Amino acid sequence: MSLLHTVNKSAFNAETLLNCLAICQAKHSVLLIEDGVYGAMKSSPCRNQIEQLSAQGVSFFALAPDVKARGLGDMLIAEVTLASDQDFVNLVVLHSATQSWY
Amino acid sequence: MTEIQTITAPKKILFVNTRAPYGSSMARDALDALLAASAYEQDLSVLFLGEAVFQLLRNQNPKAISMKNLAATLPVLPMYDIKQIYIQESALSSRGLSIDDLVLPAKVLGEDEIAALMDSQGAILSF
Repeated sequence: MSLLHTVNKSAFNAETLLNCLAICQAKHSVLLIEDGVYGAMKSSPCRNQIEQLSAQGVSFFALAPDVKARGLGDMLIAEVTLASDQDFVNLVVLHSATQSWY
Repeated sequence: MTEIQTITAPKKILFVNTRAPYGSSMARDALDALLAASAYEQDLSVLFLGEAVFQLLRNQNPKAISMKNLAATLPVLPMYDIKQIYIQESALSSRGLSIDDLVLPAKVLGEDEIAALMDSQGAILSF
């Protein structure tokens, strides 16, 4: 089993996502929620790390209602998959534990 | 008895937005305060710094998170006679955004111009 990380701060003004990515391992999942979804933008300061970790087997998700709320629909990097509220629940169940970065 | 002072020239008041929308109530609070202040015929300006540039992005739809659409209300500011709307250039460019991505025609300012704008105010309210 593996970890689910949730991140709720913008990567543009906080190091929350950076701190999370620093300890991410293959088979972990990262779910970006609330202002955390800004970290999934093509212009994100964490874009390179997300792409590298994705290639190493880390899964990235962004909560769709938070993405839509902020008008980011067509601004996200390809490695990040949109997740519904139901997907959020499924992710929590599928992982051994959830680490909340906030 | 003190005399009632006659009202002089309108006060210059700058509303500074610093937060992204929806993550907290700050963006909404700033807008509510700004619209309330517009009733008092003062000389109002509004500035979007840092994360606050995200408040102006097009295509916002916060229905699914049960919030009011900020980007639907911000374009009414000129109708409330709030026409001095400014945005930090470096905040836009560092987020990969341009003025075309925004719901409002804001004037783009560099840091020196922002300092001058703040220097010229009678009061600054930061949100």
